[in-house]
Amino acid sequence: MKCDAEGFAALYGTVYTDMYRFALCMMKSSHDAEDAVSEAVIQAYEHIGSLRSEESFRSWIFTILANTCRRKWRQQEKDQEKAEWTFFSNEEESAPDWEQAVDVRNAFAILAEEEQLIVGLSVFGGYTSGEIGEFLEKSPSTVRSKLSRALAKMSLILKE
Amino acid sequence: MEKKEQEMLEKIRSSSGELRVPEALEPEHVKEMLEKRDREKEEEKGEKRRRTVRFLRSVRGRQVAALAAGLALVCLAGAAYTMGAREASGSPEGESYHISTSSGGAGPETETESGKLTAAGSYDDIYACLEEYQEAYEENEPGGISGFHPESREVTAESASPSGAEESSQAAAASGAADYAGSYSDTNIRQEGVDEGDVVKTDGRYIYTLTDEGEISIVDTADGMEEAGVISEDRQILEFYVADSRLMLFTYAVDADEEKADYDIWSSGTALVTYDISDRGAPRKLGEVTQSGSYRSSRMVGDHVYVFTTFYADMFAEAEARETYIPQAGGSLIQESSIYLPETDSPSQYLVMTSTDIKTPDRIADSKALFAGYGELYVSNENIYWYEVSSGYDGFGWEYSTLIRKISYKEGRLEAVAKGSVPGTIDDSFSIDEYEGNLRVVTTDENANGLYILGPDLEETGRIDNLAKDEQVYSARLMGDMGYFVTFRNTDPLFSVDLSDPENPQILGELKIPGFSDYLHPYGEECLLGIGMDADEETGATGGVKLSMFNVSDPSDVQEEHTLILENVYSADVLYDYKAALIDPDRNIIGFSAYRGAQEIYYVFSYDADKGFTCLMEERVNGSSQRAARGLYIENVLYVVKGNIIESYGMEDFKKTGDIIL
Repeated sequence: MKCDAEGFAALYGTVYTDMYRFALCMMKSSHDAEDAVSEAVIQAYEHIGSLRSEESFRSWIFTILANTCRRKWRQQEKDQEKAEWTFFSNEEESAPDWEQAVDVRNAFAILAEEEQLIVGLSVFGGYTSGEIGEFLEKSPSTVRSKLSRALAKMSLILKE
Repeated sequence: MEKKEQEMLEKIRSSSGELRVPEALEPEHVKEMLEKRDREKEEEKGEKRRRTVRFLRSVRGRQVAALAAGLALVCLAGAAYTMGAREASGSPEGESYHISTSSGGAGPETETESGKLTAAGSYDDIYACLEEYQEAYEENEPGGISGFHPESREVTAESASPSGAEESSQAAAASGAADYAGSYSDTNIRQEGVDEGDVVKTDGRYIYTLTDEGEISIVDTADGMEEAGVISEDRQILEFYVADSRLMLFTYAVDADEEKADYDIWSSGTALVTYDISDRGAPRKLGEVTQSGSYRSSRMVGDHVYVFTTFYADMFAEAEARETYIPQAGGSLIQESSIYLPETDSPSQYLVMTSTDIKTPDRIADSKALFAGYGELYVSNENIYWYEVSSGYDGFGWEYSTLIRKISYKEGRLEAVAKGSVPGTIDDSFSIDEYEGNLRVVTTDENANGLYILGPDLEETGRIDNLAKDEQVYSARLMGDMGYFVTFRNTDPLFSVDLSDPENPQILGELKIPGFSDYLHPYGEECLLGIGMDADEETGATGGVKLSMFNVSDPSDVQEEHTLILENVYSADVLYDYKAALIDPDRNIIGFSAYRGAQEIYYVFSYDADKGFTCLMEERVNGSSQRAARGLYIENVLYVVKGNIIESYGMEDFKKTGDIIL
């Protein structure tokens, strides 16, 4: 596909709220979530030539975003080794965004990274378990069973 | 998906609906930002080509790979696009649908294949693979990209292998812990006689645990629990072994170039560091060896430690920059003749393997590298098997096959033996098993399962095709002449297979029961323990964690003797990681941690053929650790270890006797 900044922004406009929510569920702070989305946007824009049709835009950019989040996790692990990681400052930073959705965030927090990806891609990316399986290199049934376990875990926190 | 789950997804969606997106991410701002980038680019137009190259380098092979993985994903979903480095130039193929195969001849057929591994004649042979990739990338042809796999992943449980309880017991005795010679448990492993590293180990007196800080704490259990020493590496420790009076640990190699290490989080290699721990209070470093790539797994057999790492080649490297695409071991490039060329046309990484004799911990004894796609590992008592999935589009749908490469190891010497392929994919390392020189493989595919027996050169000797249509293999355990595996859709058929004649494997029995088992473990002579999830026969919806004991004394008539369902227990680590299990039929204990509500609980069960499962212990696991919980016993005390906290329980009544916070 070929498109300029304006065309790209139009496509982006259809998915950006879900992208941000997804990133927020994946990352520990709103600051990191914002970074992840920005980085994914730049990468996507640079490679828009590889996208064949507008219809695939959503899953295409979510794949890029999910990989950006994974890369950031690894980076954070690395940082954590170098210096004592200050979880609390991140906590404060991100709190305002989550006033209405603090439960969802707590529910995501109890999940393992892989489970976060699976739930996040299902909810915000609209992916099927087969597609997520391809992405994570797992069989669709493994993804389904992991999704159902992750949701069971989350339901305990989201009960009421 | 069941209704309850749909509702949960909807709930998550709606409760995050009120989130405000930061202003900087609003489309209008993003548009301005991109336009600004475009303008800057325009100004530097003369330099454009160089910038592109630099960008491609900066993302390095693996991020490109990540994008490409997205490509494969969407292709599968039926929406076609491929990825190219070209910038907004029209595609010569227009909107054509790309069919890509990454299978080097092993395609979507139902045939198995075998042959010899191809060693590189020179580094230029290897570079030729990179050039092919670069060409494919620039021409926007799918070949070099599809099936190319995303960046580094967590070390997942593969086949395992410690040296078995007997051997470690001997080691403990030799190290002067003879006074405490008695029974103790060892890491639950994949292959008896092949030890595996873990985050908790014991030698029968001391408990070694990896703390949240990434250090190893040594706790003396001789009289209650007392911290005896610490091993700190100033860098995150990943896993370790204890044998004799030595401790071998894995950590990141220190990159001489700090900035580079900072910039490229994958660049640093892996180090194997050996300590003398005869004085637990003052561990002494004996040596360190390094190799390229991130730590993936390891094994220890006899005096040799085998280390497996994943090294991502910079697919856009210049030919002269060898170190960016040829892995190193012990500080120098691995020899051409020890590097094996890829079997698919989309390599992305190397499996780098080294052996080190712990008596000479400063020197790597041998090294080999396989240029490959993403794959997994199984280590038998004599051989290392690397298997990777290859996919092909046959015009109707995607079909998968698994390529297997076999490397023998003996006393630290590594030798390439053979390669082969089987249809379908392998669930986990319990589905691939070597016995008397033959390799038995249970594979699964979208709609069929198969069992293949391969000879020493990975040539097929026998098979069973088209098993359990429309079901998926969930777990397997191949034990000598018998094999068992579980498939699942809504019910859980447990198949028993006679493997005694490699040319003619036979299905002996099939037992249908609700739910499924994720993990199978032999329990005494006549029984097979299954740990899995209960499931509704109608909907397939999962309930609580389920224990099943199968009586396999008559393999043609396997019976589910007893079951126990843990209500409201929705998951357990053992379902994914066999190292989380403590199973000892001689002492009649089955221990693992599981999640109930927001709590992690350590359960211990015993089993009796008449009475079924009895819960001996059900205690909350303490410790906020990111580490997994492990249970182990030393003589008559059970220890539940989770990172910085160890709790002890007497094994007569399973009452808590003490704890220590490290």
